[in-house]
Amino acid sequence: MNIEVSSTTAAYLALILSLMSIVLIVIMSTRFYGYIKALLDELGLHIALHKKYRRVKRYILVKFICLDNGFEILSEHIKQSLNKLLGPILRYRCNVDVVSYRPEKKRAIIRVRGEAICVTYTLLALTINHLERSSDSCIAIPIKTSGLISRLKRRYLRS
Amino acid sequence: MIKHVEIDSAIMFGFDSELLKKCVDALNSARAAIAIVPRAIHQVSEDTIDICLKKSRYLLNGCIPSDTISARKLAKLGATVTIVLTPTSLKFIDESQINVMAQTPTPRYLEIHLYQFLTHLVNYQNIDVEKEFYYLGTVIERALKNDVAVIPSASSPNIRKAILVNHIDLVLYSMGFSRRERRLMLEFYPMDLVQRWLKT
Repeated sequence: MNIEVSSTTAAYLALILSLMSIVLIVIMSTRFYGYIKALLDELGLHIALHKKYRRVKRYILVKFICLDNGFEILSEHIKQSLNKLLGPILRYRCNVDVVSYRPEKKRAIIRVRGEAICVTYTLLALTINHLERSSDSCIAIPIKTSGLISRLKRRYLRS
Repeated sequence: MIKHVEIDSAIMFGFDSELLKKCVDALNSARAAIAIVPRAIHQVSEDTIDICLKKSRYLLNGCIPSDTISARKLAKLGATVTIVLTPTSLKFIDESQINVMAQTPTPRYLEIHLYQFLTHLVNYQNIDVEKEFYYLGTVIERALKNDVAVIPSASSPNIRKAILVNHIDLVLYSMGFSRRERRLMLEFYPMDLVQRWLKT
C-alpha cells in the first residue's frame, strides 16, 4: 500500500518535471528566437552574396567579315570598341581580352571574366559594334561560347 | 517547292534588271539551294491601304501602319500580308492590336525591323531606348502567347550594316527569350509565312 502511494507521487513528480522542462524550452526558445533568426538571415545573405558575385570565365569564338580594311589592325580595335560600348560602369566588373587572334583564318577568341551577365553584354556589344554611324569596322559573328578554351579549338583552327 | 521565276518575266513585274543580273551571278557562284522571295514594304494610311493587296501573287507585301485605324484594317485583310513593326509604328501595334490579330481566322504575321531599334540604341543618345525595347518585348511576348507569328527581319540599308541570323538570335537572347521561342521566331514562323504565300 505504502509502495503504491509513493509510485503515484513519483509519477506526478515526473509529469510536473517534464511539463516544467517544456515550459522552460518554450520560454528560452522565444527569448533566443530573435538571435537565431538574425544569425540565419546573416548566414543566408552571406550564401546568396557569395553566389551572386561569383566570377565566371567564358571564351567566345568570333568570326570577322571585313570589306575594306585588313585584319592586322583589328586585334587592338576589338578591345577598344568593346570597352567603349560597355562603358566605364560595366568595365569595372567585366574584363574583356583578346586571347588569340588569327588574321589568316579571320577568327579570334575573346575571353570575358567577371559576373555571368558580362557574357551577355559582351555578346550584345559584339552584335551592335558595326552598326555605329561613323564606324568602318568589320562585322563580328559570335559563333560559339564555351567555358573551356579547348572546346573551341577544333572550330577555331578550321578555315 | 519554290517556283523558279524567269528573268524576263521578273523584269516585267518592275524589278531593276541590273540588280537582278548581279543577284543571278552571285547565286550561280553559290552552291547551296537558295530561295529568293521578292518583297515590298509600304507605309500605309487609312486611304491607301489597297496598295498592300497589289501584286500580292508576285510580291510578299509588308505594310507599316501610320495610325490605329490602318493597323486595325491591316489585321482584317484577306491576303497574306505582314504588319511591319518599327519604332514609329510601335505605338499602333500594342496589346489590343495583338488581340485583334489573334481573333482573325487566317494567321497574321508581325514583322520586326530590328535594324532601326538597334541604330537607336547605338547612335541616338536622346531617344529613350529602354522603353522601346521594353514595349517590343511585351508585344513579342503577347504575340507568342496568342500564337500570332512573329518574324524578326534582317533588313538593313547596306552590306556594311548587315544584321545576320546570329545577331538576331543574340539580341532576342539578351531580351530574355528562351531557346524554344527563338527557334519559333527564326525557323518555324518564316517557313510558315513563305509556304502560305506560295499556296495563294
